[in-house]
Formats: sequence, structure tokens, C-alpha cells
Amino acid sequence: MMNCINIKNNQTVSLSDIPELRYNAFLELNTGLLNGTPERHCVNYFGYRTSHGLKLICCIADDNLHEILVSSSLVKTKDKLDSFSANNLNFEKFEREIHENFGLVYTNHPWLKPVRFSQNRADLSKTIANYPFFAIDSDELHEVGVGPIHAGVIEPGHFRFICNGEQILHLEIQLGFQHRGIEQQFLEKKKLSQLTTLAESITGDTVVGHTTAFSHIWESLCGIKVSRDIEYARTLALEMERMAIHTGDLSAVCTDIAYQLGSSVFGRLRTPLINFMQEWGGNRLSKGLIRPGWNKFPFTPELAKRLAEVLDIFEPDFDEMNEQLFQLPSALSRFERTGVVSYEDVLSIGTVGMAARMSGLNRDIRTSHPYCLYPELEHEPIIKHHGDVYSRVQIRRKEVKQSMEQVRKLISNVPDFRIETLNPGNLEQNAFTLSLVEGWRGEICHCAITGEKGELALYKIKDPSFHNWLALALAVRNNEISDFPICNKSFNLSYSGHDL
Amino acid sequence: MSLSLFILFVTLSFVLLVGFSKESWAGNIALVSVLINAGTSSWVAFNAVTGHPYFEILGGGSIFGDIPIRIDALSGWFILMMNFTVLTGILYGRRYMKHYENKSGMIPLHFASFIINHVSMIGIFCVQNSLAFLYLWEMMALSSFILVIFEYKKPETIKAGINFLIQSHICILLVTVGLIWVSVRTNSFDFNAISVFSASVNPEVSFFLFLVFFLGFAIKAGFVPFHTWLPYAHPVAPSHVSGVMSGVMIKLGIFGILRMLLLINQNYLTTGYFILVFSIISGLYGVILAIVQHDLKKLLAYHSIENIGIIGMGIGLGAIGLGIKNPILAFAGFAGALLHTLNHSLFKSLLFYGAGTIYQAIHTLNIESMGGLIKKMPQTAILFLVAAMAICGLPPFNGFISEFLIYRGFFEGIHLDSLSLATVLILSVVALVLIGGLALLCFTKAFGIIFLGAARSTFDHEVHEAEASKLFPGWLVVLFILIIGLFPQIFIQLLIKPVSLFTGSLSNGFQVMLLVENLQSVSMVTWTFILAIAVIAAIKKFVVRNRKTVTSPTWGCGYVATNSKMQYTAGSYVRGYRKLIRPLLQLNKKEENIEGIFSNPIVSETHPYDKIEVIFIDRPLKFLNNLLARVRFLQSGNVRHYVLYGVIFIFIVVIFSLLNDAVTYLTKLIKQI
Amino acid sequence: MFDNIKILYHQGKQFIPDTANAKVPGIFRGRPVISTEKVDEKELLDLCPVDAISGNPVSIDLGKCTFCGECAMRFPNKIRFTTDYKISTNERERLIVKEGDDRSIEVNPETVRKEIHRVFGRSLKLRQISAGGDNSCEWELGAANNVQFDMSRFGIEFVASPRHADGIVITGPITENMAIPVQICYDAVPEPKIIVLAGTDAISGGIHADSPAVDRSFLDKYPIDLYIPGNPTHPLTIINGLVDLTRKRKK
Repeated sequence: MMNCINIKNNQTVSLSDIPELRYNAFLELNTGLLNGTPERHCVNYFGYRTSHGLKLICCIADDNLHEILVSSSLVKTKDKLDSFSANNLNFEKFEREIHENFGLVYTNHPWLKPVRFSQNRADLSKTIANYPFFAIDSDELHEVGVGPIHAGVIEPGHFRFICNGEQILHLEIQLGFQHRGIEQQFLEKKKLSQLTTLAESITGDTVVGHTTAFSHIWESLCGIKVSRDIEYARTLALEMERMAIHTGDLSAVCTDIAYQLGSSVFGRLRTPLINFMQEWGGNRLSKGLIRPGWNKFPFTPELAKRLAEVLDIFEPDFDEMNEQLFQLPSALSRFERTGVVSYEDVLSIGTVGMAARMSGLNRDIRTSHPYCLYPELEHEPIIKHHGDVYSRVQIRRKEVKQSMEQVRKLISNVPDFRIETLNPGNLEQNAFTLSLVEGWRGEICHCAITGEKGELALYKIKDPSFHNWLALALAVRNNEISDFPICNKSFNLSYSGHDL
Repeated sequence: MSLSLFILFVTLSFVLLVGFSKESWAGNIALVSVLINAGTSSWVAFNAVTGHPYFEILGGGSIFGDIPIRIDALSGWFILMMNFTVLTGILYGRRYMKHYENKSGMIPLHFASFIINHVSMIGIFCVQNSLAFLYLWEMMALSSFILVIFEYKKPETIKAGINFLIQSHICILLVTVGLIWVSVRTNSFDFNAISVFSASVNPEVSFFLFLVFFLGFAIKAGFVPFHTWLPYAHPVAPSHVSGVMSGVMIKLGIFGILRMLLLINQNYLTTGYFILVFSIISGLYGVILAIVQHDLKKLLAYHSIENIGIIGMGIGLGAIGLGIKNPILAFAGFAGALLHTLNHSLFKSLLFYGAGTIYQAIHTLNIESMGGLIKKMPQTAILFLVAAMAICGLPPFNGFISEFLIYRGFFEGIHLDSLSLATVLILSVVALVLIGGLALLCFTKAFGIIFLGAARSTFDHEVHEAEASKLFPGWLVVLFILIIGLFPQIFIQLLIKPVSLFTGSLSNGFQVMLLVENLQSVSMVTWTFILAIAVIAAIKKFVVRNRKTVTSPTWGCGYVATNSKMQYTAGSYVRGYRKLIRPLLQLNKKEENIEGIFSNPIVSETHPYDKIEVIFIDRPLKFLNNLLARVRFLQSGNVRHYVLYGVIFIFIVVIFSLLNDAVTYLTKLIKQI
Repeated sequence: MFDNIKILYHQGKQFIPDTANAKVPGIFRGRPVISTEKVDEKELLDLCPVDAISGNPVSIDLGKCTFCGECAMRFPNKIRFTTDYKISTNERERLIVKEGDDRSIEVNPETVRKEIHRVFGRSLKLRQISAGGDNSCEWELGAANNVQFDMSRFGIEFVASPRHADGIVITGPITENMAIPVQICYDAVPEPKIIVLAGTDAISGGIHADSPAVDRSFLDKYPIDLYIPGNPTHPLTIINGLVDLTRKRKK
């Protein structure tokens, strides 16, 4: 198609290669691309300021073609435009973000409200205190406002429920408390070590995911092709991170249904996995492990033997506890049919990752746009269909087993490593790069645009939670408010990844 | 001078005084009148209660015959109770009505009716001539009607008033039927004739006679299913009138039932069971519906129905005790019932005064728009809290004592040898416990939503505490509530004479002393409890006297923009409960559902409606309406048609008599053939 | 029920018996030791992403350090990270490791407020506030509560409401949007109360220190009772820090 350019995951193209359309054609193209095609979804849609105006870039991934279709348009910030969301809700969060950052007004957006109260937003008069919550005109319904400071050791966010007695009629989620201005800091800091540290702190539970995406962007912009041992290390670290966090999530879900045994056992099962990460990279949450173009902590055959031992001890305990948990009627009665989101809903709002796979929607970057060593592993995503808490917990259990199998396959064949000193080189000028990585929550998308002198002009980060918070708001409708913690925990979305 | 003539003289002069004096003095004049009337009647009544009944006969001429005035212990008890509540009522009312001065011209009429109402009630308690009784009852009904429709400009007031008037008259109708029956058969208007009559006929006929009176008085008392006028009449009346009505006027029905119980000779066991079952239904129904009300006065009105049920349970128990000749049951039942009439008049009037104060402060009675009033009106809050705890039957207040007596009677009865009696009594205990629990649910909702939390809507004027003259009658009532609660022995001693009117033949001093001892232990435990709290409070004050106290806002998860919607509403608080009682309610809902992922603004409203009213009143009325609609053409509004109807009627009457003669003549003719 | 007992039996003894002397596995980067060797200070200072290294003489500020280890990899003879995880202290200056200094970092009992020893020695209830933390320190604080590290055997627990708490633990650099909620939460804690900062982001702002979306003015108002460095803080660092603060250890 001439209206958009097809690129592969991690490919760099010249900025001028992206076709620039008039806004109406842009709207028609992108909404048309998503019309009735569940294999396509929008991975990123953002704007950035140029000297000629506000440039909007839209990236739509096509899982069948294994390509991403990128198109753009140039508008003025004072324009009043028709919104993509009136046609397809996949775009609604992105348009809200564009509206918040640049003040672009959409005439028919269904829910034009602030996203994260970023410090450089266009309208500073919109604050947390005057967020326009959805309200029902009634004397009998009451609202329950939870947060930002929640009852456990978790990140801040505000949930506003409208309840009829114990039943939730509507939930609206207000975030932005974790906003640290990371995207702006990416443009201001110049040293590679600083940028890598920033990438690690986007969200501390997906360190490997975000750092891998950043490394891919950097390497693509520098034109470096990394050696097999680096790709091997990244694949292994991604799967280990997935296993560790899923085990921790199972523990947290057991805590929320007051199943003490499951909570303690899964909680302690996480420790050998992350202690292994500490043996490998010196940090339990893998901070400092992944670096662009550099195999900082090589994975040796000794480490492979050690990992095999760890997994051999981990597996029987994990299986035993799971068997017990999943045949317990008290646990199953809490899990099943709670917090249901239907296939139509997840498709229309464009959820990604586990929040899509739980309702039968196949979204997995490891199969659709594979990177690192995933083409070799021939990954098959695990899809469940009921969309309830049970499906989400099932996915976690099965993915741990699947990751364990893949890790075992990887460590049976450890590649040779070379310790290279980092030679960053220069970034390509006037370029656009996109990197998709499947973190344990779902797809992570980083986009970078460079300027005339090869400096970063824009670094756009999209964490999978950006799409998925709305799924949580839909899931709790018509459930009892006492089921909210378990719905929230079964999604386990990132507040800091959303707020950046 | 005889008592009755004295009271009549005082009344007439003060009524005239009210009519001819300034508007602003009307309240005080009524107060003086009430004081004098109450004072004299209470003096006589107190003597009666302690064992010196009063007796006189007024000459009533050829219409009434002799009018005997007998103030025995039962009448005395009711007169004392009524006088106190009417006194607090007028104390509160004169200040309450100040607000309406110069706005409507009806204040003198209102206070005159108040005086007349008071006097007619005194009369009802002591007059024992059927015709005079009916006259006084009608006077009471009409004067209370005038009191209720004070705010006649509002359409719902008139509707409620007329509803009240009509049902009042159905009550009078039934009572009249009963009294006519007796007087025709015995040729005497004296109440003693009723006893004589019922002794001379079959027990079934006697029971039927009792039933007629019972139904009539049940309408007045507000037993279910005759209660439908209560939740309309009490809210629209001014608060002091609601307080007096709920506290005293519905007790006239109870008095009537008790008096007929004394006079009519009957099988007390069956009557007892009948009254017990009837009262359980009333008690449960009243409280079940009270919980879902959002109008404060309507909620209190349904609670009156519930308490009438409790009183009825006591009466039923007492009657059963008489039937099986067990003195403890009889004493506990009747004493509990009589004490509860006093208690209910105290805390219910206090609750209505509180509602009135709230209404005059914020001009709405919708619970859902209140909130946080304890900070603005602390004394009203405390008065309301005391009354709420008393009505739920919590120690150390008075409600606990009367319910305790009734429970004591039930438990005693369970130990006797009869299986059927034990079953009924166990179920009654369960019912009473359920009533108590639900009352607690209702009043935690009411007190919590009205006084605690934050204000749910803003009012365009400053909300401040009521004036001392409105609070004073409240504190007076609280004093009595506490005295009854802390010194129950005194009141049991007072009740011995009234109850012995019923249990006369059974009176066994030893058994009764047992009950008195029970109450003394209750009193001692209560005192110990209060003392312990006082000691702990003192210790705490001493220990922390040097520490700093920091006040900070309620913890709201750290959110910067908490609003008043983020707290329970009354509807949400009782929603789980409302789902349970759905079959008993008719819900009129206006609800929209949330559609789609991003919904448009929607509205939601539900109004619960009394199903018994639907079945017993609305449907028959609709049926009658449809039936009579066919002949509505007769009401053409044209005077000439009405004249024509008169002519037709005379014509028919004349023709009829002629026809009658003609027919008899013809039949005679045919017979001869 | 027998299945449960079987599972418990298979888990065995999980808790770490002596948290003060346990060994951490692998190449954990704890307290660094700086030798007095001469190196190119400009290159060394330039290496650090958060400017935690100062020169002349060389020192590393653990409050700013992200423990990435690249300075030790580039200059292995100059800087070496030991596995000493007991690096919490109550004085900010003690977090700066100087050249040639191999002493362990300890809580100074002299400067601890009197009421902390008296009131919190056996029971410390903390309210955790995540004010821009990236969730890594929150996971580790949660892990300190699991059956292996078992913080609650020392009487230390996290509570749900600040009204029940004895102090607050802040993670994250305190973003502008969380500045007021942190203040509200601190005000809601009854006296006496302590403030603990956990993680590099909390102690110095970390990589976000100069971001305009960060508002650290809360920390200037009150004395800080404990600094727990780490990126993220290791559970043993947390436990030892809190225990050393609240109890008088026998030397």
C-alpha cells in the first residue's frame, strides 16, 4: 500500500520514508485497517513537535504479515479533528494522550479525559483534584474512592467505584501518581549509561523487557547486529523474568483469596529463581544485566548447570502446589466467573498480552513479530477463552511450565561468548525505529526518532498496561466490591509503566 | 366541684381566650391550659394508680342518661402517660410553631384544637357511657384532623389528612356497631352493661363482640393491615403533633382493647393467641418496612407500628396467662405492655421532636440529603441517639425494661407443660428478637446517615443548633427514660395496681415479687456497668492529661479531592436487606443501565411502596372507582338535574306507597277468587 | 488435609536462621571498597550514570549509586563490590564510602531518637508509601515478609492504615503528583513516628533527581530516621537496617 510503509520489528527506516497523509486520509486508512481484522491492532500512536507542526505517527501491527504498517500525518495543535476512537476504541487511550500532551482537540472522542497529568502537559489547569469522574445521578448509589495509597505494599493509583450496596456498577481508574517524566528525561540525558538506567526504571518488575526493547532500538539505530550469545542471554532472561513474576503473582492471588498455604509456598518458590538471577547478574530483579551491544554478564556452561539444578528443585514443588490449588473448591469458586471480560470487549478496546489471551484473542509478539531467539523456539501462545480470573491464573501457571521447557531447551545448548567492550557508534540521523518485545504482561513498544545531528528527538514508550487498565475497569462491572482485589491482582498491571 | 366540670370549664375558657388573643400568645395560653388540665387529672390519676380510684356521675339529661366517670388504675396509668407526653408536646410545639407565625392564619385554630384534643383524650380514658364515649372519640378525631392538616396548602397534606379522617371514621363505625349492639340488647349506655351482656351470652358471641371492638380499635392503634393511614398522617403533621399522635393517640386504641378485655367475659386463651399472632405480624411488618424508608418521619411512623406490635404481644401474652391461670405470664405480659406504652410514648415523641428540629434546620426530611449533622447540632444528636438506643431496647434505657418483662413472660411460659403453648411462645421469642435486630439495623442507618459522615448536600443557609426552648422538652424526656431504665423497680411498683385489675383473681404476691427481684438485679447490673465506664473514663483522662492531642482529617487513602459522595448512602446500606424482602415491597424503579464501554450519563431512582396498601386500599379503591364510574354521568354538575333527581325520588316514593296499596288490594281480591 | 501436610513437609525449613550473618548467593553487589590506586578520575566519574562517584579523593555515594557495577568492571583494581549487604544507616554522611575505607556501614546508636529504642524495640508497624517507585523496591519489601526472610519474627510488619503505623517507608523519588498524598499520610500517623527511605530513588532521587516531575520538598521538612540503599534494596538490607535502628544490639 502506498499510504503506509511496512517495517519489520526492530527495523530502522528513514523518517522521510514514512508517507505523510492528509488527516482525513490518515483517519480513514488506520480505522479501515482495523475494521473487522482481529489480526491487526494498534501498537503505538503518538505525536511529536516538528518545526512544521505536530506530526502524528500511527503504527499498526499485522500479525499475519508479521509486519508493522506505519503512516503519519501533519496537523496543527490548534486544529479540531475527528477522532479515530469514534470508529474504533483501539485508539482511544492514544488520542487522550495526544490531547493531554499537545492540546489537540478531538470533536467526537467518547472519553477525552487526562491520562497521567504529566508535568509538561498542554493544559496545566487540569489537575488530579478536578478530574471529571463519571457519575450517576442518584441518591441511592454511593461512590467508593480507593487510593492513591492502597492497603498493601503496592504502587499508587485511584479507583472510583459507583456501587449499589455491595455491587459495583461502574469503575473509573485515575492514574498519574507515578509520573516521573521519563520520556522527557530520555531526550535530556546524553550518556548511554544514563539512558539504560532510565530504561531499567520504567517499571521495575519488567526490567528485562524494557531494557531489551531499548537495546534493540539503540542497536538498530547504530546499525549493530549483535552476536548470538547476547540474543541468547536476552531470551533466557526474559523467560526467567516471566517465570519469577508469574510465580509471585500466583502467591499474591492466593493471598487475596486468603489461601495461606498457596501464598507462602508460591512466595518462597519465587526466591530460587531470582536468586539465580543474582548469581548470574548480581541483582535479584536483573537490573544491570542487559546492556545495548554488550554481553555484560556472559552466561557460562557452569551457570547453565546451576540453572538446571534450580529448575529441577523448583518444578516438583511448583507442580504439587498447583495441583492442590486448582482442585480446591473454595479457591475455584472465587476464581471462576469473577471479573469476566468478553472477547468482543477485549477486541474492541485493543488489550494486549495476557489480558487478551485470557479471552481468546491471540496477541503474542513472540509468535507474531519474533525477535532474539524466538524464531528458533517456535513459540505457541497459550490462549484461554473464559475471560475470568480463572483463565488469567491458568495462563500464568501454563506459561511458567512453558517457559521452563523453553529454558531447558536453551540451556542444553549454551553458545560461546565474547566479551566485547562497548562501542556505541553514532545513531543514524532522521531515522525512525520501532521495537516490540513481549514482556510478561504483554507487548512493550518503544519508538525512537532521531534528528538532524543523530540526537534523540523523541523516545516513545508504551507499556502493555497502557491498553489493559480499561479491561480491568470493564471486568469488575456487576461484581461484588469484595472481589475487586482478586480481579486487580489477576491482571497485575503496572502503574509506573503507565505513568512513565 | 366535680373534676369533670372543672376541666370542662377550664377548657372552654381557654379555648375562647386563644380565639380572642394575639397570635403569638396562643402557644403559651395552650401551655397554661394543658398544665392546669394535666395537673388536676394527673393528681387524680396518680391516686387511682396507687389504689384510690375516682368515681363520680354526671347527669347527662335524657339523651345520655347518667354518665359515670370512673378513673381506675388502668385509666390512671394512661392519663399519667398521656399528660406527660402532651406536656412535652406543647412545650416543644409552642416554639416550633413560632416559625409559622404571620405566615398562616391558622395558629389560634391549631392551638385551640390542641386543647380540645387533650381534653377529649382525658375524657376517653375516664368516661364510661357509650354515647358520651363516642362523642368524645369523634371530638378527638376531628381535632386531631385539624392538627394534622396544619400545612394544608401542600396537596399531600390534605390527601393524608383525608385518608386519616376516613380511616378514623371506619374505626368509629366499628366501635359504634359494637356499642349499639350492647346498648340495644341491654338498654343501657353504661359500660358495665357490656360485662353483664357478655356474661349472659355464648362465648362465641362474646368473642365476636370482642372482635368487633378489637378491629375498630386496631385501626386506631395501627395494627397491620389497618395501618396504611399512619405512614401518611405522621409525616405531614407538624412534629409536635406527630409526637403526640404517635406517643398517645394510637395508645387510645390500645386502651380500648384493654378496656374491652376487662369488660367482656371471654375465653382469654383464644383471645390471647389471636392478639399475639396479630401483634407479631404487626411488629415484624412495621420494622421490615421501616428500614427501606428514606423519609425520616415515615420511618418513625412505621416504627410506631412495630412498637404497637410489641405492646400487643405483651397483651396477648398476658391474656394467655389469664387463660391458663399463670400469674407470672399474666403479670409479665400486662406489665410489659403497659410499661411499653409509657416507654414508647417517651422515646417516640423524642424522636419526632428530633425530626422536627432537623426539619426546621435544613428544611428537608430526606435522609439521603443529610449527613454530618452531629457537628452542627450536637445536642439534637445526643437526644436522637438516646431515643434510638431506647427504641432498640438497649440497656440502660427504658425500652430494655419493658421488652425484658415480655421476654421474661415468654421464657416462663416455655417451661410449662403445654407443647402447643411452648411452640407458639418460642416462635414469639424469635419474632421479638428479629424485631429488635431489625430495629437496630434501621436506627444505625438513620443515626449514621443523618448525623455522622459528611454533609451529602449543601444548604443555602447556615445550619445551627436548635434553641434551648426546643431542646428542653427533649432533655425532660431523656430524664424519664433514664429513670425508668435505671430504677425499674419504682415503675413496677406503680404497675402493680393497674395490672392487678386484670390478674385480680390470680394475684399471687410471691410470684410477682420474683419479677420485681429480677428487675432489681437488672438495675444493679446496669448501675455497675455505668460505674465501670465512669471509672475507666476517669482513669483514661488522668493518664493522658499531659499528652498532646493531634486532630487530622479522616484517612481517605491520601486522595486530594474527597467528596461527599464517597460515603455510604442509606439506600446502599440497606440494599442487601432490601433484596431479601423484595416480595413484600412494591418497587417503583426508574433505572437506566450502563450500556457500552463508555457510557452516557444515566439516572437511577427507586421508591419502595407498601404492598399491603396496594392490596387492601389501592386495588379496592380502583375497583370501586371503575364500578362507580358507570354512574358518574349522574354527577353532571347541573343544578337542574339535581332538582330533577329530587322530583323523581319523591315521585317514586309516592308511587311506591300507592303501588303497595294497590298490590295488597289485588292480592286480597285474588284470594277471594 | 493430608495433601497440605505433604506439601509443608516438602518445603522443609525455609527461613533464614540468622539474618545478620547469612550469605547471599552469587555476585551480589553490596558495599564497595575503594583502593587508593591512582586512576583516570575523569573517566571514572564519567562512567557513572547517576554521578554517584566523586573525585579527589574518590568516593561513592551509596545514596545515589544504582549498583550497576560498571565502574568496578572498568577499574577492577580500584573499586570492588563486596557481598556485604548490611549497608543501612541513619546518617546520610555514612552512606558515602571513601577511598581506603573498609569499615562496615552501621547505624549510629547515639543519634537515634530516644523514643525509637524505648517504644519500637519489640514492635514496629510500618506504612509503605510508593511515591513514584518503579515497583522493584515494593517487590523486595514484600519479599522481606515471605517465609524465607520473615521480617515479622522481629515484630516488624506492614500495616494497611497510617493510623495503625509507627512510621512510613518511602520508595521512589516522590513525584509531584504524590507529594500531597505523602504529606497527608505522614500527618495521619500518630506520634512518635519515623521516616525510612528505601532505595536509591528515595534517598537521592536516583536517575530522576533532576526531573521536573519530581518534588522532594517533603524530605526537607522532617528528620529522616533510616536510609536503606540498594537498587532494589535487598530484603536482608531492609531487615538488618530496621532491626539495628530499633533495637540496641549487643556488640
